[in-house]
Amino acid sequence: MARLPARPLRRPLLIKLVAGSVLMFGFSFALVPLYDLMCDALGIGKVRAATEAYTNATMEPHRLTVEFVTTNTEQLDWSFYPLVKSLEVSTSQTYMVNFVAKNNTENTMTVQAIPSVTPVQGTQYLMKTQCFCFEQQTLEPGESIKMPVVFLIDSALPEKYATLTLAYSLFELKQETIASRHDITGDGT
Amino acid sequence: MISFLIRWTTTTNHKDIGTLYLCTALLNMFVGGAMALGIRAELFVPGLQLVDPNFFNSLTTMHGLIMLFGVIMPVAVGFANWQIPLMIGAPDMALPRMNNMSFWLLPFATLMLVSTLFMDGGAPNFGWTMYAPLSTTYGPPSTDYMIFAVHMLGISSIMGAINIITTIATMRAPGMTWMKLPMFVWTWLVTAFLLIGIMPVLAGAVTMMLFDRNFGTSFFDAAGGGDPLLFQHIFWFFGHPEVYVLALPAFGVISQIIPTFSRKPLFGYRTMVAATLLIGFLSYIVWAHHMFTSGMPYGAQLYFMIATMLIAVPTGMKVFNWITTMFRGSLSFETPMLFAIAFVFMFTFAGCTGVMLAVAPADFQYHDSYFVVAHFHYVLVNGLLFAFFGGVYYWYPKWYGRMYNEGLGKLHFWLSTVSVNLLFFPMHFLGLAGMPRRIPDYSLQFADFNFLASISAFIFGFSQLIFLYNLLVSVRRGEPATDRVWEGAQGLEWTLSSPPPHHSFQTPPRID
Repeated sequence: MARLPARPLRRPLLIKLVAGSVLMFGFSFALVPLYDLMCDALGIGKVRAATEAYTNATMEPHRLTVEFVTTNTEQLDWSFYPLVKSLEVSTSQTYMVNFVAKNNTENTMTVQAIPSVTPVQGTQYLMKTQCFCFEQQTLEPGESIKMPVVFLIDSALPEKYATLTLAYSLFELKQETIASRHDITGDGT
Repeated sequence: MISFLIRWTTTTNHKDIGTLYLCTALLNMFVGGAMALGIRAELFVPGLQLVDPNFFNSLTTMHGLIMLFGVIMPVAVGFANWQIPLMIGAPDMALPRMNNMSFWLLPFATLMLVSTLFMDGGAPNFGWTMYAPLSTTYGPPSTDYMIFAVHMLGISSIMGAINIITTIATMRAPGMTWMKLPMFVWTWLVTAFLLIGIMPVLAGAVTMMLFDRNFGTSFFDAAGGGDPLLFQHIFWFFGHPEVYVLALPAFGVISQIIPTFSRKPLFGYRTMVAATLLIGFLSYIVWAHHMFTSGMPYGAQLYFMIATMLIAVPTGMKVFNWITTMFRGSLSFETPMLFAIAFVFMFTFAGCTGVMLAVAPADFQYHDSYFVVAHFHYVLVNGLLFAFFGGVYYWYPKWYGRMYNEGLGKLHFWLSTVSVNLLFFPMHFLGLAGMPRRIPDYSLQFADFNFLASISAFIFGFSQLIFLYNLLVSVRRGEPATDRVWEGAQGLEWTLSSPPPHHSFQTPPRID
């Protein structure tokens, strides 16, 4: 056998090998969207699964009344009230209601609303996808703000609970508690 | 002195660069080994006594990184540099200047890696697997140095791999057809392709880590739409073929040693080549068996479990061929053969614990326990490191023209074999009993086996000084070696003088 032609072969091979390395570097970044695509295709991913469970609930939707109640605590001189007192809703549907808060004091203040649901058995069926209670509100003296709540009632709620009451209590946050806000925004209710 | 430095820093000779790789790996082995002894000293008795827990975590991380990237990989590249041109009848590597560069990146990258130990906030402490968010959100500042060190090591390996493929493809002597290539050359060819496939992926993973740490991206941060699990997938897409990057060259070394001392040709050469290619291919599609406990769907667990077990088939073919090569051979037991036989025995054992770990439901118990530590140390130390010890003893007389001291070699072998088994074997039991890895303290019931492991670790560590002494002394005082060195040696490298001439084959040999 003749000697392999060494020189002429080398350059194209080299180009291919270097291109292969660069390609694989690109592939590592392509894995980022590919990973999401794979998860979507295979239905993997807890967040997605959780939302689908509620929107595609197999149970028949039914109707009920949701009432909105507010309270101020510790002689807090704020106005705080819902724009609608109650709402006739259907389960598995999303609704938005607005609350108004106004700072009547002479000082800039930071407050946070803590929600609760009555009867307490209904708590786990009332899902708030957006709520001012997830955040803190800081208002100048005399300033007012309109704050939305977006919620949905799971169709799994037993029909004997014909009325749910969503109550908010407004608390003033002192300076030291503002720093550790994550302690009070947990969505347990 | 200056001329000595210039000679070694500017050399483009494949033998010089091979020696540089091997010496660097040997030095790093003692650095990484010292860290291992630090770990074992802390684990000598229950309780916290010697090191701060955070420093303990740094020790396990740096030990892993240095042993993989600073010892096993360079030692394999060192063998490739020395042996591939000799075995295929070439004068040198195809790209000698790139060869020089790919070596010289290595010591500086290792130096950068080790320097993190002395930085504020300590060295990386999240394990060699660098899982996000431990390495992104919670990593110490020195993590960025580790990332750049990994980049440099990656570039070095990729250049080395390109060089090796080019050499094998274009520099073979006339008549050296693909199916006549020595097994070591075949295994390195597949290894080099694996390196080109995976090192860029590791580079990508650590680049994303760097971006997450410093530039506000969210590749691995769920709060920004990323996913920490994505890091594990990318890392193990690199990490599993990496195991075979380390293992295949060792398989190659063993496939050269066993026929020599059995005085028979390698049994089943064609199946050996096929098994090597198959292992290379399969290694790309099994990575998630490292992540069974991460909440994968059952379908995926089932697939990765079966695919992983499939690798046992080509590996088993290799073990079968090695044993059959020895069968009815005219065996003699010089030091390289002892290491080779020990490799076959202990690597097969490690393969069996590997199949145990591949069983997804069982892995939920073994995961992150000392059983895993025992398994991969049996692969890497009792297996691969022993194969490379064997390889050094086997080719040392050819490389440096002098015989090593056989008595010291056998002493090194027996001390190492006994101590390494007493070191890692009890760890299987510790793991099954529930001792977690990477923790500086443990419950009282684990005390006896840890005591045994720590004592054996020190014996094993200090036994390596015999190896070092043997190499250093024999290079001047050893018996002059003959050209063939071993009675049963076959292959082109044994037709050259010992040591081989500066430009190995100036006229290509003819192969019939």
